[in-house]
Amino acid sequence: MNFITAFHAEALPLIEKFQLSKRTEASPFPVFSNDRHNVVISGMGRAQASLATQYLFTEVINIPEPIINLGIAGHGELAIGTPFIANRVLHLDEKAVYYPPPVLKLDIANSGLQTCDIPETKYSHPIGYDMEAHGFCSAAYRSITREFVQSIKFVSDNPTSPLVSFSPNLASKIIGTHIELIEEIANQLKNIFQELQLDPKIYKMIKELKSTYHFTFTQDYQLEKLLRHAYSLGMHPNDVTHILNQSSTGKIFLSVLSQKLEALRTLP
Amino acid sequence: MIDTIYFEEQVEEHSRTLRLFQRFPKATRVPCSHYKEIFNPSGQNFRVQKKQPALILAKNSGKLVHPVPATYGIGGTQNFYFSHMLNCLYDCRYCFLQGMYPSAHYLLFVNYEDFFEEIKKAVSQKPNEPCWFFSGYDCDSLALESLTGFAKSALSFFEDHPHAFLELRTKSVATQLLEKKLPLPNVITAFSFTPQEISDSIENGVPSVSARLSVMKKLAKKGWSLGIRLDPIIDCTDFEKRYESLITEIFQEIPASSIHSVSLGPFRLPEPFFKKMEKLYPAEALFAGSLEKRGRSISYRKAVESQRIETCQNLLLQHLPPNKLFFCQPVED
Repeated sequence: MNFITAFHAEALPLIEKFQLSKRTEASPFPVFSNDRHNVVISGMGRAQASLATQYLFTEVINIPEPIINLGIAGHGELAIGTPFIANRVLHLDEKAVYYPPPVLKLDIANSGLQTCDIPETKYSHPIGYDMEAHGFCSAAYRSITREFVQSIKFVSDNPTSPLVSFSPNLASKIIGTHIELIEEIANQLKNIFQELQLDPKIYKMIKELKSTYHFTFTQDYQLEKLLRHAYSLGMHPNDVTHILNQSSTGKIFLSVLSQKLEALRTLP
Repeated sequence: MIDTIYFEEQVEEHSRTLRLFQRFPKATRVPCSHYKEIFNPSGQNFRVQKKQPALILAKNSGKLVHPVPATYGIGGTQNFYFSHMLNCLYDCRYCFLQGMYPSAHYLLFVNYEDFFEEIKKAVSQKPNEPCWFFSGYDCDSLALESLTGFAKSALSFFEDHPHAFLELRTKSVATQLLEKKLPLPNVITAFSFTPQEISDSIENGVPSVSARLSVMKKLAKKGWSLGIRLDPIIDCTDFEKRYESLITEIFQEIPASSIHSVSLGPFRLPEPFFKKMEKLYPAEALFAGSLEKRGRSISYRKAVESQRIETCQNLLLQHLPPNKLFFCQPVED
C-alpha cells in the first residue's frame, strides 16, 4: 500500500508497524519502503501533497496502485482521536470538489473535509479541516481510478480542544492507536484492487512468449487478446503451452491458438 | 441497502428526498452542488461501485423526454423514452449502462412532475396519434419501486392521459403496485428474458424465469397487458433447445391474449461501450464470443445473428400472430 503523510510524526506508526526503511537514493521527499508498502512524507500544505503524490506515482511505483492520504485533522464535531474517512474534499478557492467513492466496509465515521491553506481554528462546520487532502486527490486522480484514492484522517483538535501548535508526539500517538484500522483499510483496498486484475499467470505467459518470439506491434496486441480470451473461455494453460511447443514462429502460434479458441467461443 | 446518499443541495428539502432520508436513516448523507460532480467524472470504476452503489438524489433540469430511434418501437408512430433514474439494481454483464456511464451509483431525479409535464407536451404535439413512452432504457422500471415510487406516480399520470402509452420494462418481480391496481389499457409491463442458464451466468441478481412468469401470470389474471422482451438474444450452447424451452414455458404460463407485444433484439453494443466493458471484466466469456465490429457496433457475426433471430422468430410465431412481433434493429444496420 502507498501512503502520503504530511509529517514524519504521522508516518512513524506506519514505519514501525511495517518495518519500513528509508530509501537512500536522492529524492525531493523522504520515502520509506519495504516490498509491499511505501510512505512518502510530503511536508505541509496542498501543493506539497500534490507534488509528493505525483512523485510517488512517477518515481516510486511503476504501475498505478491504491493510495491513502493519512494524517491528523481538525474537526468541527468529532472527538479527539476519532478516525474518519473523507467523503467530500473541498478547498474554498477551488472549483473542483472531490467525492472519494465509498468502497470501504468499515464501522468508522464519514465526514466532509475542507483543505485549508492555514490551520483552521474556527471549525465553522461539522466537517474535518486539514491542509493536504485536496492537493492529494487532485494529483492522485490523474494516476488511478478514484475508488483507490482515500483520505483517512484522525481528529487532533476540535472546538473544545482547539489547535495550539502541531505536536509530533500527539500525531504519532493518535495514529498509532489506530494502526490496526489502517492495516484493515490497506488490506481492503488491496483486495478490491486485486479482484480487478487478470490472473498474474497470463502476464507471466505473455512475458515468456515475448521473450521467445518476435511479435510485431499488431501481433503483440493479438497475443494479449488471445491469451486473455483463452483464459476467459476456460482453455487449460497446458493446452496453450502445447500449442506453443508445436509452433515454430510467433505468427504460427497466434494462428493456431486463434483456431483452437473458435470452438470455445460460444457461451456454455 | 443504501449506505451513502449524495444529494444536490437544491433538492435537500424535496419531499421525496426527505422520505428517502427517513427510509435510510443510517446512510451517510453527502451534499453536492450538482450530481455531475459525483456521477460524471471519468476515472471511476463501475465494477467496484456496482458492489455497493450509493444513491444520488438530484433534479434533472435538462431535456427529459427523448425520441426513440426509428428502428425501435412496438407499433406506435411516436416513440419516446425518459429516464427518471440512471442505473439498475441488477448486474447483467451485457448491459450497455456499464459502458455508457462512468458511475454505477443509482441516480434518481426526484422531479417526477417535470417529466410528466414534458410527456404532456410531447403528446400535445400530435394529439391524434398514439404516443409511446418507454421508461426502462436506463434503469429497470420496477426493481427499485419501493425506493422511488416512480411507477406509482406514473400510473396516476397515465390514467389521466389515455392517449399516452407507457411501457414499464423490468426483470423484477416487484409488481405489487400493479397487482393492487385496476389495469390501465395504455400501460404495458414488459418483462425481459434470457434462458435460465444464461440468466444464471450473466444476469446477477435477477429473479428466476419462473418467478417472473409467476408474477406475470398474476398480472395477466388482473387484466394487465404484458410484453415479452427477448433482447438481447444471447448466443449459447444448445441455443435452439434453450430458447425453445423458454418460449414454450412463457406461453404455457401466460395466455397469448394478455400479450401485447414481443420484441427481439440482437446483442449489440456501441464499440466504445464494448471496449470499456471488456476492460472492466477482462475474464468475461461473453466478451470473448464470436463477435465482430459492424458499423459502429459490436455484435455477433452477421450469419450467427440472423440465424439466432430467425430461430426465435419461428419459435415465437408458433404462439402469436406476426403483428405482435417486433424487431429492434441496431441503428447502423
